[in-house]
Amino acid sequence: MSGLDASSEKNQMTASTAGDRENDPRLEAAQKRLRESVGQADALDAIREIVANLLGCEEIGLFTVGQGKSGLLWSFGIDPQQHGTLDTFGTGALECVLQGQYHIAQVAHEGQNHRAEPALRVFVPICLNGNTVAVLVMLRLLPQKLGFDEADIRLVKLLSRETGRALFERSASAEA
Amino acid sequence: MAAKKILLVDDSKTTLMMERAILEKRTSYQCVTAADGLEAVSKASEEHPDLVLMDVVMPRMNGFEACKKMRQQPATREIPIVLLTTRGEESYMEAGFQSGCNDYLTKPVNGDELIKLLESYLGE
Repeated sequence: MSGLDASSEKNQMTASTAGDRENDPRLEAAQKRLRESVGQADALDAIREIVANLLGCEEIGLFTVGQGKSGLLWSFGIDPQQHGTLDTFGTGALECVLQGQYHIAQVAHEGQNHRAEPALRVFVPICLNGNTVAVLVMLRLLPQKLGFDEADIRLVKLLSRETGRALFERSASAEA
Repeated sequence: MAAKKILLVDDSKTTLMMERAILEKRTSYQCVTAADGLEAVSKASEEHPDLVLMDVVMPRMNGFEACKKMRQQPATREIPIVLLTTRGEESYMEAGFQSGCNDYLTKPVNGDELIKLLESYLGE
């Protein structure tokens, strides 16, 4: 027998406070790591480390967006042949993500093969100067991680806010 | 009394930053770091830490090999070693214990769980 419990959440991004960072070493470390990254390759390493080691997601894709199109910039664990654009995820949530809202769809499976279908899909808008310039997609949690909690959401918001500068602004000036 | 010293070993700068932030905010332990197993073996001999908290999957020398090396050296043989990894499967943990580690934690690190485990070896 299999059961399905699905919930999804959409939220407008808000900045985490200094108090949040003070109380959560993960936020402090993630912010420091992104801000100290040098060049795009290091910024991508920082994203991979944060998503895999702090959030516990095994598959990551970063898609640039603009002029109604999207393209895979970089991935870890996600098949680039299968997911070359955001459209391949076939979700209606993308419209909201492109407008600056994150989207988390968490599906709990019972009696099914967890490996067959990702039990978690997270879409995070990467914002720069008020525009969504990329979307970070995270799929599949580590087996020991049961879901996303409030602290994870704060980390998702930080990624949305800080990643654009690390990837596209500071990287450009570092590599110039 | 001198502060207890912990050697943090991970090739992820983010993980090192987070572990350091947890320990510096909530404990009086002193932290030193290494970026892979090879550096860890060398730092453990030089720094004589009271405990080693070490990732498993790392370049140059992984955590299992580094653990075995430390167990072979008289200066580091008795140091408690806690391995830290994304893989929590039983076979993986068994390999960790065979390499000589004392304990095992899985990522993502839970700050409360980490401190409780460290205090069980080092005291508050």
